[in-house]
Amino acid sequence: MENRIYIVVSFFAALSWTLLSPDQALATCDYGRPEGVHTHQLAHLFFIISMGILIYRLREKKPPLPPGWKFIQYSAIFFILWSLDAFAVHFMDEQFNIIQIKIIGLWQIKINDCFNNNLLKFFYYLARMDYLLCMPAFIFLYYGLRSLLKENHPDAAGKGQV
Amino acid sequence: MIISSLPISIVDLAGSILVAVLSLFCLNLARKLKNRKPEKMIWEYLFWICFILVLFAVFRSAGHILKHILLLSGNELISDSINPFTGAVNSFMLISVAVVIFFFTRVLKFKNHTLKDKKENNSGSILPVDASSDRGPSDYRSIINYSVNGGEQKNLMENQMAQADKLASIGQLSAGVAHEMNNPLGIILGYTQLLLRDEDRETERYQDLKTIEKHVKSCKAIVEDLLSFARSSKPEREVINIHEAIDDVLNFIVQHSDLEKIEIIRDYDINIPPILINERKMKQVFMNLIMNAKHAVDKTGTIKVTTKLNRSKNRAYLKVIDTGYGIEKKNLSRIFDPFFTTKHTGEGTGLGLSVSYGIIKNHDGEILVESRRGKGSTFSVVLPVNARHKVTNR
Repeated sequence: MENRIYIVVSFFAALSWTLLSPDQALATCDYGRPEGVHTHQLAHLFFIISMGILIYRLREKKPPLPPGWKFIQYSAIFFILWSLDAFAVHFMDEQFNIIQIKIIGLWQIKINDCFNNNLLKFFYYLARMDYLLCMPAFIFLYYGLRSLLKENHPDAAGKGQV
Repeated sequence: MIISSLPISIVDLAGSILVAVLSLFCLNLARKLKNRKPEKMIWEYLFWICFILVLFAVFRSAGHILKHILLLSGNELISDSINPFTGAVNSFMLISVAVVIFFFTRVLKFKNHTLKDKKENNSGSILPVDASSDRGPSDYRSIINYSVNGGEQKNLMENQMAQADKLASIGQLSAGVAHEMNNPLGIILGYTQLLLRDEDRETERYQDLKTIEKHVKSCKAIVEDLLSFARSSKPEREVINIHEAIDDVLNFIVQHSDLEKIEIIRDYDINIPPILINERKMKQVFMNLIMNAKHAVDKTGTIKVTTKLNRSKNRAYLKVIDTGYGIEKKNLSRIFDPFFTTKHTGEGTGLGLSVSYGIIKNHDGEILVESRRGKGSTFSVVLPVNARHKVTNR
């Protein structure tokens, strides 16, 4: 019984001391501000790898894929291209500040880069229109699913034999 | 480099809206696909991939549209403060899509391996039914010990045993019911015919009695069929040439049925010796199998009747192969059950194959069915042969 009282008293003493004299909590690490963009880039890489594996598995399938799955395969290819595009854009403007953008009017922007290379600027400008790759990915996905739905249409085969 | 931001803004805004809408359409299709075959895990995963892609597309699009609105309205600071949040959500969605796709690819891999294993074990929609189901459990065990090479074959053997057990139970039940019903039906028929004798043919009462007689005869025919399915007594047999029996049946069918566009191929093994069978019963089996094939082929197609002798096993194999619809896998285990039919009401009683099963069983034979949907079916009858038998003079 006495032991229990000692334990309870010690616990509350330690708790009071912790609350009354706060200090830095060193249990968690501070990764600094750019961690968000690094995480986002890693997410893009993870996404690219997963889509790559999906294409590999679909190609591996025997017998050869029906059209529906082929469209889904094309969709995965466009998702990879889109993700690479987005990765490149984040890499240039947010991750390593190779490109700097300044809005100078309602419909105008100024693009600067570390290497003063117009080709790089133009590539960045085009890459910013990533929906041109994202949209075909969804269109192929749509056609793939529609085709699969048709292929799996319930038919009346098998009636009348027995 | 100063350049117009209009193309970027247009592509971004239009793309955001279109992608969000398209992704919702995709989700709707994936949902339909999932509901069509709920048992298929692949569709379930495809649905979840689409679901996460929709969340990703909608959140990303909403973030982009909001950003444009805030920039155009001069609220650049608010836009900057929202950016980390939308970025974090997008990252989370990207990772979620990737995780679901990883699981999906594992399922695909598993499915590919399963299909490969199945192919290696040569398993199709084949249901062998050993008609000689009188053997006890110990006999089955010995068969399994000798012939099981893999899990697939073991499953096949277990299915075969379950099928034989089920048909034996149905046989006992049918025999009991048929026997109990046969006597009262005989009495009803007898009294009806007695009443008919004294009745004037022109009266309404005579027509009513004729109707009773007709229906009682139909009932008796069904009961007889049930008894044929269940009866285990040895039928009266004679030694006959099986090919002559098949030809008799085929010629009868050709003369009485519309078979103009159906090609009938006969491929007989002349080495098959005369077999000790009940000719009438066996012709009934051939008739059932060939008529089944005819119904499956419908208007155009091929029916092939083949025979083959296996000298080492002393067995004769008769096959009726058709190029019809085939039998759905779910129905394969039920086709020998009495009264099971996929034909429309009035087109068949569902007793043809049950009766054939009973007859083959009484001849110590086997009846097997192999079918692939859309490719056709093969019914095989295996009968014991004895080379010393001589043809009975008829």
